[in-house]
Amino acid sequence: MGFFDETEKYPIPVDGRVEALAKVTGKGKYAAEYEVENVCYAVLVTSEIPSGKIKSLQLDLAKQAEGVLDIISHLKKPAVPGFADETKIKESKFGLPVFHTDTIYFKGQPIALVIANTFEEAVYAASLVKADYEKAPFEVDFNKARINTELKPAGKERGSLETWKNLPFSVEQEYNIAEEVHNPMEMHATIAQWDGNKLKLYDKNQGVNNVQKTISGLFNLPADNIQVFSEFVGGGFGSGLKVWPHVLAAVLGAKQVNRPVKLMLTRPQMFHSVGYRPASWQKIKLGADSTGKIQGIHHQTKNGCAIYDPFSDGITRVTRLIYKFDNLKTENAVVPLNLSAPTWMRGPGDCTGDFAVESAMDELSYQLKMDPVELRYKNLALDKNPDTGLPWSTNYLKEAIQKGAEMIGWNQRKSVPNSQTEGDWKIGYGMAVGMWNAGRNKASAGIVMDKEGNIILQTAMTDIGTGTGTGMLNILHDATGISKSKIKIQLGNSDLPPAGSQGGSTGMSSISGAVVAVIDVLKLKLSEYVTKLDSAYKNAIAKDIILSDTGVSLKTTDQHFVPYQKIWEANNLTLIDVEASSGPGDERSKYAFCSSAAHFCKVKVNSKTGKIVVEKMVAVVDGGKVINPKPATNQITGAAVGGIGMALMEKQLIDERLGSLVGNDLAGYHFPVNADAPIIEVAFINKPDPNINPSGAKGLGEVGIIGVAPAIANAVFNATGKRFRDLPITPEKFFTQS
Amino acid sequence: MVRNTALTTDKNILQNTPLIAKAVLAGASPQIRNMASTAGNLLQRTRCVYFYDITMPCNKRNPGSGCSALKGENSMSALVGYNEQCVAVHPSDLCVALAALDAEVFVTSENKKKIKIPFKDFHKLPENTPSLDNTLPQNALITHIEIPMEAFSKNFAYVKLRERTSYAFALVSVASALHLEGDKIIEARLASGGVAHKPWRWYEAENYLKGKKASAETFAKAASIATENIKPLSKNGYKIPMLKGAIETALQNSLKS
Repeated sequence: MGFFDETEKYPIPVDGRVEALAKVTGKGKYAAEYEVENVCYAVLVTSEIPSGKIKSLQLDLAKQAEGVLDIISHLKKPAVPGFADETKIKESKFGLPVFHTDTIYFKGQPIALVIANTFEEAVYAASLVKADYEKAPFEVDFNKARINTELKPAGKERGSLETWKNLPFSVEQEYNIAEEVHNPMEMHATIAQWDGNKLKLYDKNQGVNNVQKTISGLFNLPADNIQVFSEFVGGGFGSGLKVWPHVLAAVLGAKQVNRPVKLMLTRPQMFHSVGYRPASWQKIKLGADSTGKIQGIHHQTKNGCAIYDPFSDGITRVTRLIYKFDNLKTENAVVPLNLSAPTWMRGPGDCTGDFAVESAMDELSYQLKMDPVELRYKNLALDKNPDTGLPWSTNYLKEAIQKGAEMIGWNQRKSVPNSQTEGDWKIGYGMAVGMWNAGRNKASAGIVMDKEGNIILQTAMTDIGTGTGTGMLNILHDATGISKSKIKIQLGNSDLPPAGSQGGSTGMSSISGAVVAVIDVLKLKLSEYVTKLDSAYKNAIAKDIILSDTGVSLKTTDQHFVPYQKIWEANNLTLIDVEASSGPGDERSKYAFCSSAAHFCKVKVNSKTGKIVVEKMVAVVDGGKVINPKPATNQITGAAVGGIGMALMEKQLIDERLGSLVGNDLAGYHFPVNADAPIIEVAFINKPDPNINPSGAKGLGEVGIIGVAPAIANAVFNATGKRFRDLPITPEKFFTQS
Repeated sequence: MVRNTALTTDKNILQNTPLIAKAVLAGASPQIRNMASTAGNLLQRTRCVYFYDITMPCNKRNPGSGCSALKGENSMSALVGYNEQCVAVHPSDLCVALAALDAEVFVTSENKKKIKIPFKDFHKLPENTPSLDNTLPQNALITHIEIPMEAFSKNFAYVKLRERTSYAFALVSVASALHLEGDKIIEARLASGGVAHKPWRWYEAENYLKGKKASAETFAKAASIATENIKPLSKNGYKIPMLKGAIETALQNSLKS
């Protein structure tokens, strides 16, 4: 195991990913693939009803089945100190107190864990478990339940609604978005292995330290007792930011049978076990004066949540980011339903809110008879964060819009909707902008160096496909000149220097500072050792120390080059092992930070069949400095495809009468296939942010999706004159909506 | 019997009954088509979501338990030929083409008798036996399928409308074939998937088109005839205008040989 295969002889392609060969040859191990001796298999039995209580569980038949080791349920399970009583359960913020309650909150809730020698035996035995329920009334209909949920303020009100009550140009509309599901390619899985009061977890997640912290809290164990590996992650999109019930189930299973236990969720189980983007309702009232300047916005939002977890998607956050105007009121409510808990899904909140804001802006532009691009220029808050008043450290959104308009051929757009046809196809163009707060968290990195100058660069941070490892390698290479072939990356292991989770578009921003910091620490350490051989290095500062493939030198006229071999020999070293951490500083109180994107698309809509084809799609992104051009482009195109899914097809169906998800598998839940997307054209402004972190890179993971759905919906309006405010815009809607 | 992929590359089929190949290519994925057999395609079960969830009532899976789709999530369910017992649709694309071309299914029965079932009679409507999808006798074997070589090898089309461009079942699909002389329709075939428990022939529309000029007007009229008097379910009313558009599009596409 190991993020970088030690035995790999092939050189990394110059601009490729460090883990590419490990991934495509299958050598890279995902959570369920680690070989653990004596492992046994666990399968979840889940509730068949959406609400009520478990009256009884018939386990006898299952227990007698061949190969069964034990069965865990609320009736019999190892103690979890963190769930000792109701107060503790609440404090733990874990969410579902799995196997510590007989209450059923949703259909699909784990009610038993069957552990057997082989996977097949466990599956079969699980099918023999029978439960008797005391059914209770349930609610899974978001649109029905939300009607009576009261809105509450979400963030401070700015100005007043009164001042812009009667403006000549205003939009007041409601927007609905169906529940979407992450559906990463890799099913979540955990292998749990106890050794006394030490625990090893091979677990699919987006943050090993977070898993460590959560589990150690639940079991009252020191965090160091828990070792978590998540070295290869087959996509997360936010589903791996929390520790979910199945992880705890595996941990309990391993404790119960005193053997390592492997649990992998099935694809249908994934739909109710690791979160999802909750269904949402929004109402926007937006008013502008006759020049197109926004005077005020009133944004009301509601999202579905679980009864046991009041997750708020933060839908109105984005309304406080993009445009400059005096009066803003935002409100929110969460609507508890008999469904599993939702969670952050790529561009959480902002994606949803931006659909409403950017659709409303587009509607406004037609009222004003103004080019939607001009309307954006008129209102962008380019200097300061409109809410906090802090100056943007960098904000090149206007430039991004200009470039995007050029790339799509915006001048081909007809300003009158439904006026461009080619046979049965109606042609239209649309645009929208997206923004995301650019964050940075504390992170640590380590370097292990040998006497040949080979370096292993380490961090606990995961790489969920974003290219973190590659970014770290590039930063190290760029900062020191050391050849990429001499650098290996180790990550996704809690034994390595700690870091935050990979999410919220903060990964690169956080780890880049740590890499820069640890390079300096390495330099100083080497310098310390070299002083023995050359006193010129005494008191040398990091800035003046130069590394290379073969040794160190000083930034002086007579360089003082000392080869690594000599340093090692003179100091009797085997390895040099250093660590450093870095995090945000007072720049966060001086500046506001954001990433942004301008999305443009051309669509054609078939007036006979309702088929929508995205013919052309352009994304221009201000993400600060681009550290890895290929993976960065990959982030944006992947996110754009997610946006096409959000706009045109993704929806989780729910049967309101039976209280159940239906079609929860990859046949029933549609996300885009290759044929649904054009080649997405991506451009980066690529101007470094001088304040956010040493690399100048802002986050890219999410701006790529924020704004895509409204860009498409706006294009569909331009093509057909039909305004769709309910996502997804499936062919069905073309016919049912007037 | 041969794999689905073979149906798409066979010279004989491509020359004489290319509609078959076109329809097969609209379904599944290359990997699935490489493995799927022809007869298997005929016998595949419905994709109704309630059929697969053993916690939900389904008369097809569990006779007498009720039909969850009837008043539930039925946006993918039948438009015609359904009853209160079952509103499932047959998911095959190949079968729509076989229905359009009046294929015949050759069967050897349990006691070695040779039976020939016209394609229109092979799949059934739910009637009182929703658990049965077709009329294949118990323990009988499908040995081969024959497709008559009629004049439908030049002007044909298969239009499959779905929520994404590939790898999804039809909301509605239309197989059309025209026997033309100049711009006069000698005979027309129109069949649909995604609308019923069996592939559906639009006989009335076909009869209307017979002898008419192939034009946008007659195509629109044929589509209207086909979609007249359809009583949809609570969530699939959209299929009616969509079907109309699909029929017009398929007939129009059939003109390009």
